[in-house]
Amino acid sequence: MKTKGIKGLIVITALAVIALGVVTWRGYKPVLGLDLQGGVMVVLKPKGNPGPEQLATAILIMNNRINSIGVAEPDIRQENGRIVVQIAGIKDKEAAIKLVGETAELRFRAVLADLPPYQDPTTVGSTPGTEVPGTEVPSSTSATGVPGSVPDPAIAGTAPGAASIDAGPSTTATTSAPGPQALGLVLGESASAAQEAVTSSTVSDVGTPTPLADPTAATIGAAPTAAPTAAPTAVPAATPGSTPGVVDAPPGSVPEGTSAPAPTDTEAACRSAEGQATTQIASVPNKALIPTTTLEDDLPNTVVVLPVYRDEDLLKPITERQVERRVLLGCSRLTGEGLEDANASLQEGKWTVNPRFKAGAEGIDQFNAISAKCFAGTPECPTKRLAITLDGAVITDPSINVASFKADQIQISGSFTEATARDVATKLKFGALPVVLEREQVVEVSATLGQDALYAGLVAGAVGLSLVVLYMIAFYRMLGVLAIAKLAVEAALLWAIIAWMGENAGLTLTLAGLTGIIVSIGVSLDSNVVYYEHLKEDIRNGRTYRSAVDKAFDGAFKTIVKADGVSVLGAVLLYFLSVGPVRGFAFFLGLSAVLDLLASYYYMRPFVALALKSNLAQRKPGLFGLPRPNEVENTTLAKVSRRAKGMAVSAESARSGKSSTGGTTEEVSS
Amino acid sequence: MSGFGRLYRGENDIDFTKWWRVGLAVSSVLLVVSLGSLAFRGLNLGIDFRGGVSWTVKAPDVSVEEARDALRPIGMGEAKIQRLGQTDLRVQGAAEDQARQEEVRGVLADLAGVPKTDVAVTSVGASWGGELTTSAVRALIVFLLAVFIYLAIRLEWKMAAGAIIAVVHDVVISVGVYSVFGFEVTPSTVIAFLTILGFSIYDTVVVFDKVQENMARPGLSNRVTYTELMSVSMNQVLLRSINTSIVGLLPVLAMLVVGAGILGALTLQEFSIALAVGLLAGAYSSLFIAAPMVVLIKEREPRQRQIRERLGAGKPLTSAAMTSRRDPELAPASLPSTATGVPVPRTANSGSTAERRATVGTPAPGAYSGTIPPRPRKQGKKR
Repeated sequence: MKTKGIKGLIVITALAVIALGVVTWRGYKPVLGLDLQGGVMVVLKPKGNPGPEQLATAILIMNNRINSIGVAEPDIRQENGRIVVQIAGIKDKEAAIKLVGETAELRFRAVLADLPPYQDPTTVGSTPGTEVPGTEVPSSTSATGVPGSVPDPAIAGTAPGAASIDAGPSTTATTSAPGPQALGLVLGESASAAQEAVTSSTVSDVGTPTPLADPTAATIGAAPTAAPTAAPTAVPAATPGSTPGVVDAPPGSVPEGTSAPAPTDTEAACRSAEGQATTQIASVPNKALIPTTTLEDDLPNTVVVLPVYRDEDLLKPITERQVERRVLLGCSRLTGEGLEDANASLQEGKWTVNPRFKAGAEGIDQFNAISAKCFAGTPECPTKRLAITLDGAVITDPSINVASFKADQIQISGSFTEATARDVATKLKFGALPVVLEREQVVEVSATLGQDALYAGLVAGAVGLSLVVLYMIAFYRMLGVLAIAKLAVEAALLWAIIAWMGENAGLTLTLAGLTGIIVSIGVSLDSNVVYYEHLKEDIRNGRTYRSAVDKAFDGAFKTIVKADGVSVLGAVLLYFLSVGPVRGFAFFLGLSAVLDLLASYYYMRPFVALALKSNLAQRKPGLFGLPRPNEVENTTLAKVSRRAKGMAVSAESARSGKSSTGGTTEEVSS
Repeated sequence: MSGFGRLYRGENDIDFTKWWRVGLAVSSVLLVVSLGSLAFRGLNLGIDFRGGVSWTVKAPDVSVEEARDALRPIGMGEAKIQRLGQTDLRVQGAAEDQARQEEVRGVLADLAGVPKTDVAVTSVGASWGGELTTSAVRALIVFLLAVFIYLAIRLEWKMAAGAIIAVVHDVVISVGVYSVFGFEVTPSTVIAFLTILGFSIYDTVVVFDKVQENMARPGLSNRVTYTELMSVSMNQVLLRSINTSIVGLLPVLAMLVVGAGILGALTLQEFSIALAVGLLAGAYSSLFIAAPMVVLIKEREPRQRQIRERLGAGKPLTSAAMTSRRDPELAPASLPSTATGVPVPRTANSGSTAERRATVGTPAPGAYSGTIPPRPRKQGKKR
């Protein structure tokens, strides 16, 4: 007799073997979650109700920040309105936690000078003697001395300043087409000559004046570029202790910490620091050796050196970007809070970015205060360019071509493509309404505790599994062995899926997930129990093994589908309604239930059928824990049926007056 | 013949109606105790719900007192200090900022003689707990609704209602156990509870599925009350229920004893306690809560009323289960002796043969026809 589903049996067994083989051959292993290998998890909740674009920018910034401390692939996900950051196996956990939750601030800073990209003195191959003294002591200084006391620039309106220096030159040219209304700020593109080491200036073709068709609009020609992210190269050490006002960098040394005169007068301190930095920078022979300010030291009231990335890299992941040039920037004059909104638009066939400032003292006035200086090219803004920075990198540093602007008629033009213009606008928007992230949960797991947990989970799993195996075999004999075989097939598939997804889809196996798997052992074997009990019952009720095998499966499978259906349903809901580790648990539980359905249908059914149709089962049913057909007649159902009949008969006879024996006789005779 | 032997051979004939009464009484007590404890004692919520910081370090040689003494100078003497398993030490308390966290971390690292990085720190904002509770409750409600709809489609709404009542019962009792014994409630516990809901329903589904299968046998469903049908079905799946629970419990117990007890893995402990409690509650409620609830609802159906009347059990169905002891006729299953008492031996044989046919020959209308005239003829034709 042909057994149904033999093909399925072969296919699923082959599938399991092949999957396991491929995964092993490729060397894939499940990727352990940070609770099993140590690491940091931070759950962040955005305050307010930021849009998807906003959140995406926040995640991008976060990703770049974590990259900047040397972690290649942080696992950052958006789950259920939250951002979950997981960094496994990281050493400097504190730095990571700190970086992750901080809000990125958009700042407007005057460009003081241009610098070439950073060159690590050790790799340059230059003789030690040629090194700029002081390079190894890069530093930024905060004017106010104690970092913590830096006045909030947002409150101050204008960036009060402290100065710290590390600088880089850049270039830009501007052109403007002042609108008839005299508001035009035209920032032509920076066409200014790159100074010495400045490797590339995008400026060149940008310098074209942008004639304004729209009389009302002011144009800010811009040197397009930018990308958030700190260039982690150098680590300027902040020297918080330095006395304000004293800018005593060793001669020729790279700007060392400088600070402003009196903590009360941060603005004056800033001016002085800016002046110092500008002078010092000018005297540094090899500006490429001046380190870039790290993200940590990128404080509002310091003079900083920030990178400007190549235009064409704007949309690339941070690690693939190249620093085109760097700029020495003054203190922050205005933050993103002064912005109302920004968008990108096509003007005269060119893509431009149009920021809109808030009215009055909170926005446009402050912007005009600094832009007027830039327009005039005063020492506070010698390059006539104003840089907009976000999170340790320059987004764009357009030249200011008009002395005064109207809040909603500003245009930044440059060699933007549609994509880059939109990108810049997105970042400005983000700056206008930064996503403030609240750390809801911070979990640090040490590597040793993680290993212990993994060990405990594996041991517990092994012990639990052996107990279950013993029980199943004791109770169902050979059928129990078949159940274990099915479990093995499921396990092979599960392992292959976890390993493959770990490698390719970022799935991590957490302790919660491991628990889910251990629990699913029970779920899986339950299908066998349901089937076997069905089988036994049918055999007791008089079926032969052959007919019982298929019949019982049909009945049992309906139950299995319903029951596994509930498990899957629960797992799916749990997955979508929860955050973090709960998801891992739900995922593995749901996956196990689906695998169980497959294995029950394609593996258990034909396998059991084959076994029961074998001669062995016919001769020794005890080996399979099965009753012999017709061996037992006294089953529950039979008893109740008899009783039911008896009851019915007696009730009927009571009513009709017939004798109950009559009824019985009739039936017996029939 | 031992009870287990009968069970193993599928000859068990337990009168569940009798036990339902016991079950309902036990559950009522448990529910009252649970709710009372929840109201007066509340739950021992972990830091995830309250906000705070938790430090864990592997320090087999440090006692809780030593840790407290070491922490007192830095003002953390009042922190909650626990030993987890054999080796781990955990301190929980409030720490306003990261510097403070680091301070405690340093003290613990010194105490245990390990590098600072070997001290695991978890800090949770106060709002997190509220969010967690909200999302757990939301998950629970959505889950119950979804399961109700699913079961209503796959089975019928009355059974779905019974299953949901049983699940709610499980949740209340499980939470009650946590309250009474003061186990700490953590996010893992919540996950475990949600899982348990699935298990509990799984068990219930198996029972109900069997009832439906039996309902499809007119030879049976026309002749017994729904109450008895349920009882029979439960007898039929009893072994399965027991085995399922054992198979489900064994790994969980292994997690609890080996993983958590001996090796001290906290997450395992949190999971396994909740899972064990929930599994037991689920197995119990599918037999003793879900079933009687469905019986209560179903016996109100006109059809069931008719059957009852025909069987001479005219009293309101609801009381049938309750009165079974007093009036054996209402719930015949309660008297196994009737099985042997009523029919003549030959009848017994024919009954079982007929039943065999009923299963074999699928619908098998009226396997034995003592009562309804047309059926004997049909049966005859078939033969």
